[in-house]
Amino acid sequence: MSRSKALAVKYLSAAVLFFGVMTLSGLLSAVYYINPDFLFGVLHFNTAKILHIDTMIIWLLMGFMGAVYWFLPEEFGREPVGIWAAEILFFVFVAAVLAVAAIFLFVQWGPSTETTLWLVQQGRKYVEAPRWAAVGVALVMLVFAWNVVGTALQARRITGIMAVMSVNMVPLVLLYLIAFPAIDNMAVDLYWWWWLVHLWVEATWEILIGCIMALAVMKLLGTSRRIVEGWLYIEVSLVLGTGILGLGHHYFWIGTPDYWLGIGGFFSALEPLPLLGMVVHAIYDAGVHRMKTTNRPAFYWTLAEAFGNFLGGGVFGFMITLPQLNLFAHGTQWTVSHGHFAFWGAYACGVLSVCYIALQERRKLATVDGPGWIWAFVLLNGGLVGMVGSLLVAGMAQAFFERAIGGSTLDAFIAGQENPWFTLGMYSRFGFGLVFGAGYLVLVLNLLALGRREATLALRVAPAE
Amino acid sequence: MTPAMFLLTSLSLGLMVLAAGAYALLYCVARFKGSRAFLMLAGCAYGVLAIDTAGLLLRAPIDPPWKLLMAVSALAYLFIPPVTWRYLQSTHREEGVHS
Repeated sequence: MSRSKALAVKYLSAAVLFFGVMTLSGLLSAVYYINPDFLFGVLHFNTAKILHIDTMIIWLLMGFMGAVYWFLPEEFGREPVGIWAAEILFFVFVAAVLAVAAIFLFVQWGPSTETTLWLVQQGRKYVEAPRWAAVGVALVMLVFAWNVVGTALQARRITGIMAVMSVNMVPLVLLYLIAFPAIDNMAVDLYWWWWLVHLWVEATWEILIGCIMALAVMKLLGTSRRIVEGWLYIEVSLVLGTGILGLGHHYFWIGTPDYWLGIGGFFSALEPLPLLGMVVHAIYDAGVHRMKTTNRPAFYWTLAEAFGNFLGGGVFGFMITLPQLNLFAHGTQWTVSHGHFAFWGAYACGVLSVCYIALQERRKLATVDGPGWIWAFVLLNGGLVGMVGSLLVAGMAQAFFERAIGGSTLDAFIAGQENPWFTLGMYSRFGFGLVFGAGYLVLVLNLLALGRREATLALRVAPAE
Repeated sequence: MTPAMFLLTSLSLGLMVLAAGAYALLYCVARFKGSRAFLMLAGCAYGVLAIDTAGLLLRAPIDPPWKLLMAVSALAYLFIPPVTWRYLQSTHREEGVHS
């Protein structure tokens, strides 16, 4: 196995590990909504939530990097140019994540000084990590970009997928730099923060996962490169066309001109169109191959990616995308519901698909199947759908009672929080969260055990022969 | 916009995209199986989408430009599955994937 693939396995393993941390801290965060005194004075809600959303970013980033490092040697026929640096930085990355988690757990905050920004945390949602860690992440991303672009240059050849990925490396690295400046004006700070959150997620990440899934589909179904690349170009242009200006739908209450809400709403409303095309493509590929593949879990996770992206991003997003409606739903559990479903569908399912692809090759398995992955698939997706459904009900109650009827006063906020539909949604979310957590455990067991039984049986049979 | 209309409009928008997804899924199954029954079901799904969109155009308290966007989107949803299908078929045929 090449060094790049060995590194990919490390990244994917770390991703699955941090996926677990995200799940656990998410479950903890859910408990606070039904028992606000939970772990009072020991672990506060804000700490659990920071761990939940930050590890979500980290595990997906690690998953993307693992996936890219897995496919790079196959695309270029050689090791990445800076594989040695990537190997060192992997351990630095993991150590930094663990150190930051420890800081969040045991220090959490400090005085409003530069020292706090550098050593404790920067205070911005999703990118709270202290500046030293953010420098580390930027360095990891730079080396990652170098390995993609530099390897293409050294190999003196480039595929369409790698060309798209290489161009995407520029905004992927640059947009993260918004995590650094400490802007005093909160409105200005949020303006740029939305660039980081929205453009990273709905532009660069979307393209990155598009490239990864293109490589995965070629591997899984043997679909020709020309077909996959043709579709990738269409998808990328449509996603970019709708996603970039869709940024405006976040610009509430930060002093931006009104027209941004209209522009953002218009382009966001177009976003389900390419997603529907992706669903048709997924069904077509599944049908052409009559659902037959040597790696069923990877194939089903790929299908889940297409459908989850459509449902989470398309259906759940479209419900709240028009500015007139977003005004009421913004910042409620409704948006949390949309966020959970969209992230799961667009990114998490894709990363899990690549995990199975990598395992098949690493353990030299002719076929990958069995009941374990099905249990994990059903529990994870069932738990997730249950969670987002519960959050949807709770969010609708918030938007309806607190915002639309109550007019967003403090009294209305309290009434919204005490509304039976909201509390029922919170209990139900926790219950489905437990199902999701069980799915995670089954997934890990399945990933660890996959192919090992067959290998053991083969060893037992061998002496008798 | 009344609170009830806010909720109703939002749910109608969600239903519109959901119906588009159901139409696409059933259309693809119909083409694979060569089944008229599935094609009719796909038509029913699009019918739900059309009725839902009509409701939005007639009753939703949103400005005309947004209603125009809804109407154009509903039309686009009608054509996306067959157009995508033909594109996929032609590219696969050119590559010799199909027998």
